[in-house]
Amino acid sequence: MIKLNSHSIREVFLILVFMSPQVVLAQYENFYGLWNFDKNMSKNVGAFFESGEMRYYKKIFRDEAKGIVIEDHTVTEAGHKTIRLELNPSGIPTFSIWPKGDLAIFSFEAVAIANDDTVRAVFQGSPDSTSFDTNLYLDVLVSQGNSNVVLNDHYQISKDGKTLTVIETRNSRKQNSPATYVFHRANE
Amino acid sequence: MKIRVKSNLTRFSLLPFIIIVFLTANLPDRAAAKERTIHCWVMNASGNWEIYGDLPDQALLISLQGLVNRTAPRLYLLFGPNYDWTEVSALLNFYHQERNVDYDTIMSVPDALERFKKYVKGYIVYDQKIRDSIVLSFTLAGIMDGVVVAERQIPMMEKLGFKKLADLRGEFEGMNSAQIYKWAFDRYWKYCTHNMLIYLGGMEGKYLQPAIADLGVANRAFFYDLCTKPSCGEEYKFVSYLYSKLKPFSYLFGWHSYAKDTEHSYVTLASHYALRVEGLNTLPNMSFHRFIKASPGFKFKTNHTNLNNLKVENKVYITLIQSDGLGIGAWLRPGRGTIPYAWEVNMYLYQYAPAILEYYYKEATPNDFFIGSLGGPSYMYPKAIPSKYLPTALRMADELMKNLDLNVFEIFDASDSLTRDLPKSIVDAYFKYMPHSIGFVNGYGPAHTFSVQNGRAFVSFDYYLPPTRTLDEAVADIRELSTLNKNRPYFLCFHVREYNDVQWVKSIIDKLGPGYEVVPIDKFLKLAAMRPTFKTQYQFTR
Repeated sequence: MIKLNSHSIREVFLILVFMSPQVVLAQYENFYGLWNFDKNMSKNVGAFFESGEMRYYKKIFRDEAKGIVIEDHTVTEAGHKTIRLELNPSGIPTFSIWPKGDLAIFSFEAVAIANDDTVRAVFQGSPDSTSFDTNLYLDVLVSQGNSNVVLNDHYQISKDGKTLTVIETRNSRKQNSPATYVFHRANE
Repeated sequence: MKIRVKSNLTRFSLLPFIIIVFLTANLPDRAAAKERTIHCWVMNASGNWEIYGDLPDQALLISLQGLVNRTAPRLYLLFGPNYDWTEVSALLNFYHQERNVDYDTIMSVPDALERFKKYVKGYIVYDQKIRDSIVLSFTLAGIMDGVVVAERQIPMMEKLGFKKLADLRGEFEGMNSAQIYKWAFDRYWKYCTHNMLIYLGGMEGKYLQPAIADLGVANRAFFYDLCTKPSCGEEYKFVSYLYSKLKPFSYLFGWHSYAKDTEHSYVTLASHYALRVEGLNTLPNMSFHRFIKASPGFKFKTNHTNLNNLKVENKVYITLIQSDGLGIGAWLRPGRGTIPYAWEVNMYLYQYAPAILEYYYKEATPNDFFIGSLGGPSYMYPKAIPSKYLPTALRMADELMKNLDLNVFEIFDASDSLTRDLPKSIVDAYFKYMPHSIGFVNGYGPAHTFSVQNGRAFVSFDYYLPPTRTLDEAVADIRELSTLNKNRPYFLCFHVREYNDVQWVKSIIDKLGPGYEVVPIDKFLKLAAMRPTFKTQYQFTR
């Protein structure tokens, strides 16, 4: 039988408090808001985002029930497309449905979300509140059928809280320079 | 005696054969001698296309060209080495060397007007402030046999003895585009040909590039610049009405406006009326080209790979196709001939201007392959063509393919903004109505429609190379596709934007390393049909 002394009880209590979802949600308060994409400062983001032929912005906000919500909005001549992630701050995988069609991050490669449109997402916090990571597990359609891709997005906020940088890598691509998306906080 | 009679008989009986031998031995020379030399005039019409810059002289010459070339090829215009259409001079040289065309040069606009005075009844003045009046003036040029001028050119015209036929200045104050073209339609449509329309779109603002206008003037076509997007209200309604006035499979020349609408809205609307789109607004000298026949005895024969005894290996097979047809791409740029490369043929030229295609066929290296395009006998979106016309469209395309010795056909359908893919019914229609194709290619950017029927493959582009991709990015793209498509063989169909040249594309291929092979399009499709490692897939959005 394990005996808990007052010291260990206090430790467990502190861990539970500081790792509780509500605490984590509060920890990333600086990330919440509307972020406008800056194509000139971004690098290696692919032809779709480099073209400037669309409006691209992110909305990041907290939802007490769902966790950290990240919405990617792209508005083009074809319409308004939203990709939504609901991230459990405890790191428990969550699932979201993505719109069918070609994936813009693959530029002009034939990679799409098709019938398997469920995406699994895992949130990974960090010791400070200036960054976090998401790992996204996608089933994609390529010409030979289904394939799997893991996207890692590293979110980093600037000291003044006005610039958000998202560095994206994926397991299917070996390239020296990762994709770097730069956003500026919109005045709301 | 007997012998003498016999020898006389022998001598006379040989005579017809001697005559026949003599005649047939000289047949090619006789044919060439029968072809008269075409004497024409050439003039430099290059400039900045600015409405308040060089356009007045350029537009005048183009309208003059249409009148002068109405019944014979008399005037050919050059547009400088940086023009979009890269073979303008090369075609003239080809005609000179192989099609009995001789020419002299005209140096100035007044000289051109003096020389061709008998074809010109007068001039039409457009309003430079109103772009639609410039467009519309070409309609009047065709039906009134006049040249189009800006205000500053009136003194020159008067001095040369030309009279004013129409003056559009001040006519359209306060009118929008739909009203202007309705005004023109009410007055002039009955005098125009109803076999074609000319969309003088392209660059807007301070520019207008109406090089296609000579064809319209020669044919007395109706010119317009109207938005083809449904959201454009009145303009859309009127341009739809205009299209409805043409018979199915009539031609729409020119190109959509870069300011008002999109290529996709234009070709979608055109396809709704089963009309054949042939671009661009910058396409020059068509009034001249249509008179130059192919050489006597010339047969359209193109490169074909020997498809017997092919062996499929476990590697990545790449095939390369240049986008956007012949005439505006990399044909004359470095690298052509060094790797197998396919070029999209504008098949209407077989009937319209066959000597243009003769030039390309004769200039082709063993590594140049031609394929039919695009969607129909011209640029058409199969999903937008009314179902009753689709079989006819595909049969027309198939017939052209046969005449041009083509065996691969390309489709691109952007009528649905969400997808470039095709439903099974459309794919089946291509297989059914185009029996001369050994296979089909689909898309512009990447797409996901794949099928095999009776040993013929229907594949989509897995990769599109824009002009902005760096070498490392392009190589990483292709390697990533090869990683995601693990099975071997992997068939990677690669669409190359025409601004990339073959030398550049080869440098990408060279960096891929072992395990990749570039093959001609016909071999690619045959191998793909033999071992289809792609998944059968049709349109999955909507």
